[in-house]
Amino acid sequence: MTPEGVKDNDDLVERLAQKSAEVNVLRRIALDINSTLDLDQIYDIVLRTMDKFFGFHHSIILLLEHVDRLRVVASHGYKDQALGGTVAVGTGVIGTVAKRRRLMRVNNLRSQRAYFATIRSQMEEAGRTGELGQIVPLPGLADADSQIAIPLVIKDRLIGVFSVESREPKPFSEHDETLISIVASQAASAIQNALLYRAAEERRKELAEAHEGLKQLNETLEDRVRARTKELEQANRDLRETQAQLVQSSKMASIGMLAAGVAHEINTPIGAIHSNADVERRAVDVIRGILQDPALVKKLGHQPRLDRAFKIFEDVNRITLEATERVTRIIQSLKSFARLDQAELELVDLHEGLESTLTLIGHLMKDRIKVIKNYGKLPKVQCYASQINQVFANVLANAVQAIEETGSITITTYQDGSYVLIQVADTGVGIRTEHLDRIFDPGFTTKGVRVGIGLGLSITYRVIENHHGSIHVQSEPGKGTIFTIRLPIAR
Amino acid sequence: MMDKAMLPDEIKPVMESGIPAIVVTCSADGIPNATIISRVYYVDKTHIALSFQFFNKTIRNVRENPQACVAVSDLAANIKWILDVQYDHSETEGPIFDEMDMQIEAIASATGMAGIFRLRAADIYCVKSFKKLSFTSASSRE
Amino acid sequence: MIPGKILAFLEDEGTVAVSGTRETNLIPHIHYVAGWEVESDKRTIRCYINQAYTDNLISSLEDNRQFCLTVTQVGSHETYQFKGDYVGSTEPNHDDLAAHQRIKTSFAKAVSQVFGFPEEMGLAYIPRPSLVVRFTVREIFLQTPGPGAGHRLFPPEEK
Repeated sequence: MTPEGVKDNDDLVERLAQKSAEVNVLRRIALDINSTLDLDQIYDIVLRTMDKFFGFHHSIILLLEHVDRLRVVASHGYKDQALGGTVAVGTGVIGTVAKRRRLMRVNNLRSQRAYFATIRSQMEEAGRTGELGQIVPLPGLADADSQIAIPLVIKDRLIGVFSVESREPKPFSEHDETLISIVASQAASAIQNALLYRAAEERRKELAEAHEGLKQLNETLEDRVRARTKELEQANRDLRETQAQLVQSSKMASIGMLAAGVAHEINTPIGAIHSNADVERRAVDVIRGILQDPALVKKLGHQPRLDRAFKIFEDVNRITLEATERVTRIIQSLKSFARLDQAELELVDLHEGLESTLTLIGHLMKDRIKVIKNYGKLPKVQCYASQINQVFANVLANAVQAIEETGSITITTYQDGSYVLIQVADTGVGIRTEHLDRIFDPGFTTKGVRVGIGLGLSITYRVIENHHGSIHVQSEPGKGTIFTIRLPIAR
Repeated sequence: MMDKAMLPDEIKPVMESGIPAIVVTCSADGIPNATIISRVYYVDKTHIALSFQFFNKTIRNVRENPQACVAVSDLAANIKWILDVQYDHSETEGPIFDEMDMQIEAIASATGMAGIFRLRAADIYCVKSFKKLSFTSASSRE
Repeated sequence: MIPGKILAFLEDEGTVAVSGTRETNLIPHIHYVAGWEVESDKRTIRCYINQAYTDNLISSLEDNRQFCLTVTQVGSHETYQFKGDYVGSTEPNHDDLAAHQRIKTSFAKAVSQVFGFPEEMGLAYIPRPSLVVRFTVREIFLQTPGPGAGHRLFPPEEK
């Protein structure tokens, strides 16, 4: 063999050895990156091997973050590792590779950039700056002279770009392009698998957390339902109370207006009747005077029928006057009870309210119930008079209705520091112990439907509460009931 | 039928090296024109391509007179290749057009010049003959 | 006459050049240039060409006298093309070789800075000239890449 032949042979053997080494490295890379599902490990294997065995000192892996943006997820050989840096799809070598999904090998980048920079400055000098766009800083070497960028594609879907750069004047060759393409293809599969695995893991964690949350929710659901039911029941009670108050206020307003009208209408004729009766009495006195003249007595003699007529007249006149006075007092009590002219917070004589109320319900008591009054010395109390009178009416009406045949109602009042106390005790049938807790509840009644609708005491309770007072009940079946009302003198 | 020379594989990396190339053309009225361009593209063994971006003197000349002379350099090896070529046709799609377009887009977009450069066509030339001029060994011709 | 600004470019800034001719049948040819110098009339340019690039050179020039020279600065891409009429050729003299040396050195420095090649490569790239082609400038065109590329600078274009 000639020396040239020997040299050719040696070259061939060397090339074969090199190819064999490259194949081994590529096989090693494939095995290593497919044996792990950890993304960082995959990146590390790819980039370090490319440097160590093929001399690609600067490389970057970017993943597609959005349809228009790639993000650097791994880099090798850069001082500033550029991790987290982004590239817009369509910008620069990497962005254009992502946009077109085609490999690109570019040499003499420095000269090309200088060429474009010359044109740019010429345009600026010619006043065409408006046509120029921004120069975008991109991750990678600012002074790279050669670059190969490869799209990472799985089943027609772009997942990222792999880029290798060099500052050396020696450009990247077709052989370099082939090596990088093979590695990029393997890396794309491994990265995709790892991303899918990571997504599945995250999903599994989310599901586990959701399951745990649901379990806890189930456990507390019953408690929450119970609590909510209680809230709703309370809200219902409050609503009914409010409703009752509204009804009552409305009733009271109507009654008040009615009372005013009735009082006005009755006052005039009663006044006329009273005045006429008085006139009649004086007229009869004049007639009696004339008939007592001695000459007339001698002429008429004793007239017993005349005497009886005068007596009847005096009795009837007296009854008429008493009746009209009584009607006037009732009207006054009615007006006082409604206190239409006093709808504001005022200093009120509570005894006056008690008396008006007793007058109004007097017909309920007739002769069967005795009223005993133990009135103490009470200062005037700051309150809404009509509302307090309503309270008295409710409590006294209850006491009257509790006494089935005969009995008594004792009303005691006294001052206790900054409070006044009004106690109404009856000798009625009493209240059963199991009912005591509920007597202030709206709608609760021990009377028949035709007698009451159970709102009186709940309204009483609410009125006392609004006056910052309290009401307390003591009772024993068969022995009677005591209501004790406590009101602050000043609010 | 025109004789076509077969380009050797060793010229490919020279064309891709990025050292500026030279194109000399001649108008129909006989005035030569020498231009420096950034790159000559290897199409196949008998064809090369030049990018047509602006309607400049070179483009006007080859439309009148298809004959051209193209030179590429391997600075490191001190070799120059001089090709006698003839304009054949223009392509506005296909792998060569795409490659040219991509290269232009990549650099232009990074330098704020996207949209200013537009590749109108890839002009395809037949290689009639070529010579390799080396200053380290005897030149070879074909 | 070549304008002063362009004269200064040829004197100090241009780093590499190439020339072109054409045959009778309009087939164009490339001739790498190893340097240049402007003569005292400020209109005639002397181009230095190595033997390797002289194929078809003299025959073309004697046929039609058409010659073009494009000079560029590596790095900035500032470029001018000079079109003119062949005057004659001669062997390079001492001044020509000095000009060639100056331009070669300038070129080697530039490619080293821009491309990263060792200066020796740049120096080897521009071989010693064996011929001087003289031509009179008829027209000068701006060839710097940009919006003005292709405009004729001399004589000025009619507006």
